[in-house]
This record gives sequence, structure tokens and C-alpha cells, in this order.
Amino acid sequence: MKPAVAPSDYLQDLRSLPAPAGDTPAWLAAARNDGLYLLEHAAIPTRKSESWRYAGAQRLFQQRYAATVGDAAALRPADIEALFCAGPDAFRVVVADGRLVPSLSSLDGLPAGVHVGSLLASGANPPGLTQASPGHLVAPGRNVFTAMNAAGLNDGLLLTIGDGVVLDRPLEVLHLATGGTEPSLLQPRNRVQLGRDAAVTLVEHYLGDEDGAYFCNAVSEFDLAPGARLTHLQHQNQSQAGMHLCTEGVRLAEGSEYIGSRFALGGSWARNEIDVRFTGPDARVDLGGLFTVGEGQFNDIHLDIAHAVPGCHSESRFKGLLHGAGRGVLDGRILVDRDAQGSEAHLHNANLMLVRDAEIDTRPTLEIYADDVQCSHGATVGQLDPAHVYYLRSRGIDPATAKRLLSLGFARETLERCPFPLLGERIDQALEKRLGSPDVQSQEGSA
Amino acid sequence: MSLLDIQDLHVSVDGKPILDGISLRIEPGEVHAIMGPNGSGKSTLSHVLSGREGYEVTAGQVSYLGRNLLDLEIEERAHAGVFLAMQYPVELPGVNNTQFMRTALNAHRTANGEPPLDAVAFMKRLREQMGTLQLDDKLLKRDVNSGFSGGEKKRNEILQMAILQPRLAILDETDSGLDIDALRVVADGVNALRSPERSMLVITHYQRLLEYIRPDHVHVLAKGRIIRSGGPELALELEEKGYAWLLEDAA
Repeated sequence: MKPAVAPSDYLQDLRSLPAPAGDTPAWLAAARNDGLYLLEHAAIPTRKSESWRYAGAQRLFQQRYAATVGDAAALRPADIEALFCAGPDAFRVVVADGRLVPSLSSLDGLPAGVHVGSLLASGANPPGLTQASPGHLVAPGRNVFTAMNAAGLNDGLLLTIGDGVVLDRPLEVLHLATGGTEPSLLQPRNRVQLGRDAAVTLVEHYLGDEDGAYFCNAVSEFDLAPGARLTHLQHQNQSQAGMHLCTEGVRLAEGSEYIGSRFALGGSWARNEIDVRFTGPDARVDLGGLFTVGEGQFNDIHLDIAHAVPGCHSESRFKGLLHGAGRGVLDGRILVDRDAQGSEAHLHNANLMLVRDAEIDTRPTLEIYADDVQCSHGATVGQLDPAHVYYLRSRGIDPATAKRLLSLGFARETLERCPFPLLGERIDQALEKRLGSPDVQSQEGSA
Repeated sequence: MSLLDIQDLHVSVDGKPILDGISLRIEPGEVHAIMGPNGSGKSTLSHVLSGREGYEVTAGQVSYLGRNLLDLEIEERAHAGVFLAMQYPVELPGVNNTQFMRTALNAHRTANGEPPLDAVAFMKRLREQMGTLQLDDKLLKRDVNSGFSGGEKKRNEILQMAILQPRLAILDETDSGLDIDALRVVADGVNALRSPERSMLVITHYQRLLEYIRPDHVHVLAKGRIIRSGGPELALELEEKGYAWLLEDAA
């Protein structure tokens, strides 16, 4: 596939993005300039690049997406309200086309030591965004997409939790594509910073208008100080024509814990790229979830987990449900460095293929240079067990419903990771819709 | 009309003959026991009646309430009232037990022109049937058979039977893996379902189950044929003498 658009075609658009209201901070202009420079010199990764071997980034350069800031006024509060599902207690943030919408957010009652808000309001030296601040977890120069995100930076979400603060109410963030008349580029930027022994539960949704054609190019960083604990659920259900790339970096200091779940359901082309870096011993990562692939859909989970220090534990478990003639990818690499003695690392991917002409590329890899480690990796690709289908049919359930129940069952197991029943239901409904013609009886659920 | 009329049934699996000319007639309300050594074809008979794929009928016919049973799809047989309590009920991860049973019942109801039951009406029905089976409530909230003990799986089978109210219940080695207390509970559940309308085909290796579920007729299956039929006393005789004397007789 030859790209129809070059990265440099975005330069003009991104350069002339309207500045956010008020004075543009100097650091922002600097960060954007860096991004523009990188973008100008960036190439579209080809399949020759190891990390894009299965993905083919050319797909994202088949058409030009207009870099705009969208129109948050088009969002109706009542519609938004229905999308939240982490409970009435949750602090709420709405980000429309990458820009925070304070009027739709509700942050009353945030305790001292907690900041949730726009990156722009974060002062002179926001973490990770300027040369003088603590480093990037996702470098703008990583690839053409991170450069593009930096070049278009004009807002973002900054969450900081101070030392010792345990936020007992979850924070729920809606990233919305408002949809416009032309295919648009939206570039959310998130920075989450947890202080020493701080803890929070973060629920993120990436959603778009059903008919929207857009490219959501998100960059998120999660920085955990010693003893911090972040529970992070991400629900992605972009539009059928939507493109979605979420590049994420997680950094864990000593004794910290990151529990991350991904429910990647939507989009025409979607990829989660997750880097995990341990910088102190005895930290723990529990990563897992579900990706689904329907007709013509591409969905990619790309993991890079580096154990560079001793005694850390990472556990990654993803399930792939391929229900249409599309393509799924689980490309995960775990690196255990020479000094990372006593590491424990596991990576597993189980896939269910419901159709013959779907494709799955699963490559869980381990690279181990330490000698005292406990590591495992594995992948399975299977079809529904005929004995299971027979059992259901022998109870009078027709084959199509039987297969749907079993496929949902396979996917539903990942919902054990979700502590919010309503979010579980939301994902469940999305799955039922994807698997087609749900019969009313099974949709009503059980008592 | 007989409920079930099997005539000269021959069945092969992977080209290998397993059933070699079985004939058996079951009238409404009758309980028939099929006994026999391992490998005699008992489970094959149960699966071929239920319609499992991979069983090739090479000769013979099966009439169920006057219909050709072998022409019906697996689920159509279920809708018509055939129920197989499996020897090894499978675990279905992610499929909620209650939802599964309601989907099954409503599939029957829809096929038979009755309106589906809503969740409340279904729960009421479920509770009524639960009583005698001493099945823990929490098993209803779990995934089908997932993490169930052997006894719980078998009781869950009988619960499904109670919900679906079949005309022909086939119990395939329902006693296997059960201790004596569990066996009694399962047998009580089965006996509660005996009625002049409902027939049962109880397949078992041991006579033990038949002390609790009293059959009207006992058949001995060996090498794919019924080699002896009789009354309940035949089961006792087998318990005493084993199968060897019959096998010799048949040879």
C-alpha cells in the first residue's frame, strides 16, 4: 500500500492550529516546534521496521485528516452523561478532540494534593513536556505519530496525585471524537503522575460518533513514584471507520504497582502500543484484556516490557476474539536485563477464531539475559470446541446462538478485570452487537 | 404409539462399527435401564439418540413419537422432548448458568409456540425445581459447570432436565463419580420427574443406581448388541454374577 499523504503534508495544518485561549505558554511553543521539526524529518514506518512488522502504518496515510480542534459545543450533556459508567462517585473529565471541556467535566471535591486539569494550566514546567522537566516516557522522536502528536499539542490532560494521597473515588475520562464534516485528526495527550504511595483508579473511554471518520492519535504517560498504585481501565470503541493509535508509556519506581486493562473493540484500524519500564525493584505490572476483530478490522496490541532492575513482576494476558474477516496482532516483547535478577515475567495470548478468513499474528517473545528468573510466554489460537456447541444444542439452543454464547463467554472472562459493573455491561453490549443478531432473551441477562 | 422405537440400529464411528443392530421399544412412562461392560456402545447409543455429530447411522431407524428422530437436528430433538444428561458435562467458561438455562428453556418455548419467560418468571420456576436437588444457590451465578464438583455437575444436569421437562430423558452414567449421598440426591431428583408421560433410558455400568431408580425393564448391551432383556431382577443377577456369563452365552 503506497501512502497517498506524506507526514510533511501535516506541517502546515499543525503549525496553524488555533492557539488555545489565553497566553500560549513558552514551553508549549517550544514543545510544538520540536514536534514540527521531528515530523518534518520523520518517515512512515514500513514493515521492515520490527515494531511495525505486522501493522503497516501506511494505512494511516491513505487520506489526509484535517487537524482541527473540533467543536465541543456540538456535544450534548445528556448524550455525554449516558457514556459515563464508573458510578456516580467518579470524578469526570471530558476531552473532546483532544481538548479538555471544563463545562462537561465535574471535579468538585478533589482532595488537596490532587490536580486534574489541562496541561496548559500546569505551570511553567509541566513534567515530561519540556527539556527541563523529568523525561518523556513516550519520546516525541519515537516515530512519526509521536512527532505529530507533539507538533499539534495545544491541550491535554494532566493528572497529578501528591505523595501519600489515595483517591478513593475513581477518575473517569471520556475522549470523544466529535465528528465533523471532514475526516479529522485528534490528538489526545495525557500525563498521569502518581506521587510516593499515591493511589488512584483511572477509567478511560475512547469513543467516537458512529459515522465518524477520524484518526485519533493519542499519547499517554503514566509515571509511578515508589509505592504508588495505578488501576487503569481503558475502553476503546471508536467508530467503524475510525483510526486509533494509542502510544503509552508506563514507568514504575520501586514497589509501585500498575494494573492495566485494555478493552479494544472498535475502529477500522487500531493499535495499542504499550511500553513498560521498571526503574526500581519490587514493582509489579498486571496487564491484560481483550481485543476484537470484525470484518475488515485491524486490531493490534503491541507490548514492550523491559525488566532492567531486580525483583520486578510483570504479568500480561490478552485475549483476541476474531469474529470477522479481519486481522489481529499481539506482538509482545519482554526483555529481562542482566541485572534484573529475580524477575518474574509472563506473557500469554489466547485467541478464538470464529471465521476461517480471519488472520491472527501472535508473537509473544522473551529475551532473557539474567539467570535467576521465572518467565513464561505462550499463545494459543483455537476455534470453538465442538463438544461445547453440542452441549448447548442438546439443550435446544440453535447453533448460531450457541456459538454466540460461547464466544461471548470467551470474551467475558476478561471482564473479571473490570470492577465497574456498568462498564462491564457496556463492553458486553458492544460485544453482543459485534457478534450480531443478539436474541433478546440472552441480552436481558440473568437475575 | 411407542414413545421411542429403535429398529435394528447400526452405528459406526470413524468407520468402525460400534452398534450392531439394536432394537428397543420404550412406551410412555416406562423406565428402561441399559447395562453393559465398558466399550459395549452404551454412550454411543445415548449420543446417537441426542444427535451428536460423528456418529454414522449405517442401518436401521429410530422413531420418536411417530417421527423419524434421525432426521432431526440436535436442537430439534431437544425441542421435541429428548434430553440427554451427559456422562461428562462440559464446562462453559464465561457462560452464566442461569442465563444458559433460561436461553435453553426459552428456545424450547419458542419452538413450541409458547411465549418466552422473562427473568422473574424464570427464576420462580428455577427455585421451584431447585429444592430437591440441594444445589447451592451460588452455582446459579457461576459459569456453566465451571469449577463444579463431579456431584454438582450431575445435579446441574438433573436441574436442567427438571427445567426442560423432557418426554424422553436419557441418563448416561449419571452415577459415575458420585458418592452414595450424592447418588441418592440425584436419584431423588430423577424420581421426582417420573410420570406416566415421561420415559427414561438409564444407562449405567453398575446396578447401584438401579436400587434408587427402579427400572421397568433392563437390557444388557455387549459388543453393540442387546444380548439379554428382562425385568429389574436381571440387574441383581448381573450384580451377583458380573457380565462374563452373559458374554459367554452370547458368544
